[in-house]
Amino acid sequence: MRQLLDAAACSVALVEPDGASLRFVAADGAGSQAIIDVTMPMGRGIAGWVAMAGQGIAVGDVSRDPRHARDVAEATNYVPTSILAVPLMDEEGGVLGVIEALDPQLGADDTGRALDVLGTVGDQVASIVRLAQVYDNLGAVLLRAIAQSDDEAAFGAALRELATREDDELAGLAAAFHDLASLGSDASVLARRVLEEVAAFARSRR
Amino acid sequence: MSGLPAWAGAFDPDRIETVAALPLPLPARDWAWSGATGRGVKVAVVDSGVEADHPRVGGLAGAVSIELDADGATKVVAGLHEDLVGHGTACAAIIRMLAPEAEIYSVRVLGANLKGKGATFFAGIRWALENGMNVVNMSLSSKSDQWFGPLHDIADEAYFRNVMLVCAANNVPGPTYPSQFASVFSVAARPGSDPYAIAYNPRPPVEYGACGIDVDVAWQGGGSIVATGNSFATPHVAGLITALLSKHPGLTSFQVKAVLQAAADNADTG
Repeated sequence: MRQLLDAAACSVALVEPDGASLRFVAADGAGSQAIIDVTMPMGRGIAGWVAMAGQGIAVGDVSRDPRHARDVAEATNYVPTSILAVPLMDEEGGVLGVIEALDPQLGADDTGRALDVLGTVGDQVASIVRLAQVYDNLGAVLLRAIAQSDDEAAFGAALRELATREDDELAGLAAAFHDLASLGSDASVLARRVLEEVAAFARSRR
Repeated sequence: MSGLPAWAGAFDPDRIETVAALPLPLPARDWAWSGATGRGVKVAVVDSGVEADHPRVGGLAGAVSIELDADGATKVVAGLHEDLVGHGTACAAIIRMLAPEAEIYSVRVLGANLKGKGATFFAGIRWALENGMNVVNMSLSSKSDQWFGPLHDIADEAYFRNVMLVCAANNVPGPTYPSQFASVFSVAARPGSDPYAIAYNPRPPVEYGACGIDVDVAWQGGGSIVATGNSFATPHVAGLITALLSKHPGLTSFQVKAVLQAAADNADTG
């Protein structure tokens, strides 16, 4: 995406669970190493406004905004001149986060189109974020199922319970594993091992 | 590029189609705005707050902040406040430019937390209706199904009470509320630097295109920046409606829509 917009840097920040701040989770380009895991208060700055309003904007000459420059410089040691920022939305219309491009090299009259392009890229990124959150959630739930079930019957019951959840993707996966586990003792052991691997993977992502 | 919002490019000068409009006295822009000042018209800027002493804002008639109680209920806190970002100040200054004598009110609904945003947004619109606003500038919209019904009802109420809700169209895919309702003025950015130049989209829900790409706008700290987005086109339309209502008081919501269409660059009023 950074190449697409010929930007100095691009970043993705996600809304923290308490809704009061954004945390940068991915970045590429100038200042990118410094900004990972940095949190910014929701009520300040352009990324915060974009998340609050659910609206993409582009701003240039932001270095003329002294408060913005100070906030960003403290976080990254890189002060951009211009910023493109669009929200990442979940399927229910909530804001998951913000994707930003810093200092894109745009020709005259290109800003509007660049904002549309970033919005389209942002839609794809939001899908990936949603999927990652589903699998993180799956890992956590499965971990509980494994921890709480000390025999095959309890394990099967935990999977059955998972399969009836409202979350379609989780329920579908759990139902598939339940079917596998129902094929017999060896299959049950296999299902359990696969789920333990999934849970370990999910833990490693946190 | 496929995948872009359906209306992206709808206002491209090379692609915009001519629309049949009511025959206002020509030139329609002069009939609508020549000599208009915004005097006597109340405009609410529902946003991040407004910096009242910014030179390009030139003072406010009033300000309230919609906040959440500990139990999640909304409350109205009256009194001047800072602009948390600069965006509300940008909107107010654009309205001031087009309607210099308008009574501008800041209604701050964007606070420090994302949670409860739908409730504060709705309460901000409700405040505008209950406090005699004529025009409401809204940069935000909701995609939440939970708010479809309440926002639809309050947008209808505003329409019938001739309170003009002017909403930024949203770039993100899928429906957004209330910006796509027929009862509001939905606005997207189009190229150009003439703040009076608007276009009418023959393929709504986004109806009006206005100046909103690389525009010089007021920002926090008494400063200014160059900005792009539908949310900067929106106050251009809000400002034009404010000026129109000061010159032609008593116009209804549907009449204002028709005047904007007739004054559009792509209107055929013959």
